[in-house]
Amino acid sequence: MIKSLSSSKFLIPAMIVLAVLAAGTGFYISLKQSQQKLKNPNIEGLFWPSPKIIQPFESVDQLGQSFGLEQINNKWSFIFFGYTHCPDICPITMSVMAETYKQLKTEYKDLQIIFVTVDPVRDTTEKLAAYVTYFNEDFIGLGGSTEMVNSLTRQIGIAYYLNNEETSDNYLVDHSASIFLFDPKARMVGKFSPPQETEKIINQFKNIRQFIDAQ
Amino acid sequence: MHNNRPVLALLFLFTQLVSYPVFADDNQDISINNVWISEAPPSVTTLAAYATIYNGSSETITLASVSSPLFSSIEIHRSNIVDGIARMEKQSSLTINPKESIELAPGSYHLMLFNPDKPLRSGNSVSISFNFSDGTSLSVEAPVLKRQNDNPQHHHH
Ligand SMILES: [Cu+2]
Repeated sequence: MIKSLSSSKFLIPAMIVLAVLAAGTGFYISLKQSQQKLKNPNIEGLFWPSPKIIQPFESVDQLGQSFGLEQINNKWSFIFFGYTHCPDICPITMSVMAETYKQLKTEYKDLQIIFVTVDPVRDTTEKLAAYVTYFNEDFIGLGGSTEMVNSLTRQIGIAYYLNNEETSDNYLVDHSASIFLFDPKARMVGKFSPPQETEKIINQFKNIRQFIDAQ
Repeated sequence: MHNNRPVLALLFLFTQLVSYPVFADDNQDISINNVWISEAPPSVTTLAAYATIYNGSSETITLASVSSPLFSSIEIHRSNIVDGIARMEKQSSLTINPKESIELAPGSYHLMLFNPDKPLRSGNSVSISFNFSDGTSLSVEAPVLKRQNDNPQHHHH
């Protein structure tokens, strides 16, 4: 009887202390979270706040079907640029993305890897199909008219230009070597800068995705 | 070239080894190693080849041109990424200092092979001639190999 009384004497202040502590911790955590929501948390390659939102566009995929904004929505998309007559940098990027995709797709089911040609005149639908599926059969290759490709490169803000002096069929095209990341709301939330490496891309992707999912 | 059939046979045997050391019959000073052509998707008509060229002589040498009967033309290129923009720069020649080597490797110097006569798959091999400005010409059998998935660019900086 006395014992239980004396223990309850301590129980109440102890509970008060605990409650204050819990409230304080809760407040601290929510403060931290709201700070994280507002601030750029310094994740490499993250575009935040106010990422670019991709506006409706038109293009033709490797199967000859039209591909636009609807196909970007509700998925995480890796988009990069190149051309099939580029035998060095482009296949390096493609190989790295093939390996990256292979490693990520077991964990993430909502990814798409999109190669956009900056040479739509030579890169026909058939050529694009053979090209992208060589690296992975899930890969998407986008082309179409020059205007279509331009509408995409302009939105993303990348440059490309023909570099050859000669007027031969063997002309070269200079183009962005970065890979751009789009979230399911078609927001350009990240960029992977060269040199491209699988491990680096995977880590960066996971950090960006975790951050965006927490918003 | 004179009667060098046995030499060619030997060359062929050499190319079946892991690395590809080739020494010219009349010039022991230049060696071309690790030659390979990167396998490309079936629709691709522009390929890249890589090699290491060593100048063991005491003179500077200049690689003036590269040729192969299988391609319409071959150019010496260098890939370069400047301010995030990837580009290939055509090189009119490559100069190699005495006792030094130059590496043609993914993401850097490479041979640009235009319009193969037939599609090339891993397992094929192609004869490529390296022509130097002093008149030396070295023919090397270049195997077609699949590109590795890791990015070799990283290792060459
Ligand atoms: Cu090139």
